[in-house]
Amino acid sequence: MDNLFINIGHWIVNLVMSLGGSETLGIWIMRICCAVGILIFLLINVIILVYLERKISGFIQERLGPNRCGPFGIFQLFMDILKLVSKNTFVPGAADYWIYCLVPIVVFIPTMMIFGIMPLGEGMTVYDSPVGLLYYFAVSALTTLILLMSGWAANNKYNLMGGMRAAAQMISYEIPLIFSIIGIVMMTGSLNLNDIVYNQVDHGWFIWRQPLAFIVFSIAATAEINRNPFDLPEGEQELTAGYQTEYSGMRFAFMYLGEYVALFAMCWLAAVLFLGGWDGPILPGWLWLFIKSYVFVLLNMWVRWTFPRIRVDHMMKFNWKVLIPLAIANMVVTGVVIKAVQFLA
Amino acid sequence: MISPVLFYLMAFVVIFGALMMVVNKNILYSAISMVICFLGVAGIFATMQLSFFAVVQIMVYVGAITILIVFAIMLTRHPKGDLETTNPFSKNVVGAGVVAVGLAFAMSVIIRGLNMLEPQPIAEDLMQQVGIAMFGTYVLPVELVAVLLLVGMLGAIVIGKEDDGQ
Repeated sequence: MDNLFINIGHWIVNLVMSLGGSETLGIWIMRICCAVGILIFLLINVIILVYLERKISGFIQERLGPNRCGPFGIFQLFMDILKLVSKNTFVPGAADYWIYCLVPIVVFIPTMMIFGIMPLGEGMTVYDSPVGLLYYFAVSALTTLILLMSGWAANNKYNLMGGMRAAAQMISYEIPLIFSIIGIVMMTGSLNLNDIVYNQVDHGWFIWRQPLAFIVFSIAATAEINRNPFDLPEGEQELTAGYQTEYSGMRFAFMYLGEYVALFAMCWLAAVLFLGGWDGPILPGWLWLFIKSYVFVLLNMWVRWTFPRIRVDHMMKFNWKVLIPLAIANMVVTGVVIKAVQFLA
Repeated sequence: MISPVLFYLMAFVVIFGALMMVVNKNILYSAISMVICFLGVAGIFATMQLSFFAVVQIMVYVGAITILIVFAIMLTRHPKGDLETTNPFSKNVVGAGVVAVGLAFAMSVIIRGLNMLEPQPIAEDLMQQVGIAMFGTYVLPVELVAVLLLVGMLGAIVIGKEDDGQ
């Protein structure tokens, strides 16, 4: 059970080899199967996430949430998708046609690419990169540019302000996000996500060894994926829907999809970095990782429906004057402790 | 076996991006073409197994520099929004041709004269070596560059600050 997906992978390679292909071909076919599998996995997760979001927001606000369409309202999302698909695809007259149409197509790609290096369980990484952690931040930085472009392309003041806010916020909060993790990288001595998990299996989870980093990381991560209380780029009250105001129909659906996959990827990374990845008793490792990332998803939704939105100047002050000094202090203390331990040993 | 094909593919992406950046009349499209070009360069690094450099290329150039450029484009005025009419040098076809041919000639001479190194196997601990070089051997120049950047930023703030009549 623990090696279920690894065995499926081996089976695919063996199948190709028994049909007369070489091992390289088999491995490449296996990788393509992995990519398709991950895509389907992510889409299923988005369905779960949207349903959870609605039900949890209903629970927290003492409402029922969707409950008419199917048992417990589980078919509500499918009806919504049907509605979005049947809508006319519309481009505003003053919009920049090419960029406007390009953004919903590419918005989902970077967050999908992240799962290429992510450990999905013990030994379950599509490409076990030595710079996995850095790759995550490099690829997710592409999203910033895409959101900025979506803000510009529609030629609407709400879009533009949302896009500008998104870019400013994501660039600023990337700094504490990365600085908070440097402590983990120093203790592990590697940027490989699998090495980080193996280190945690041997020496204990990083949530206990790097508690300050965990707090800084979770706040900065919430801001990085534009979730409440940091959802200024799409603040409904002042900006209608921020950078996605002018998108409708399937284009809007893709913007929404990109947002939820980014949330899921960030929670998955947090589970890998701080909660020991696949480490856990009885259940298979991949299931543990799945459960742990959903712990973070639920925490994030709880925060979203509990806290009010932060003001834009407070957000910047909080980043530059609180989070970054804390992250740097954590880095310095970690370095001193590592050197002291080495000196004493 | 697969590496030359990938290299030519990536080289095509780089050249395509660079050409589109120069040829495009809309300056924002030029910025996006630049992203394509940078991603191609990262791809070339990746085909040479230099994943660290590929990732840093994407992080620095696409994640930071392009966004800076796009911000600069959005914050400045574009009277006609057309590079051809707003750039006075674009009408000087003869001068541009002379410079382009001269540059191509000079580059071809220089590249032919280069003493190409034999391909070396890539070190296993590439990142560690980069780290040791940056924060050990060359720590002073790196810190000086950091100070220089800080001074540049402060200078920009001082120049850009509005004079409040003092």
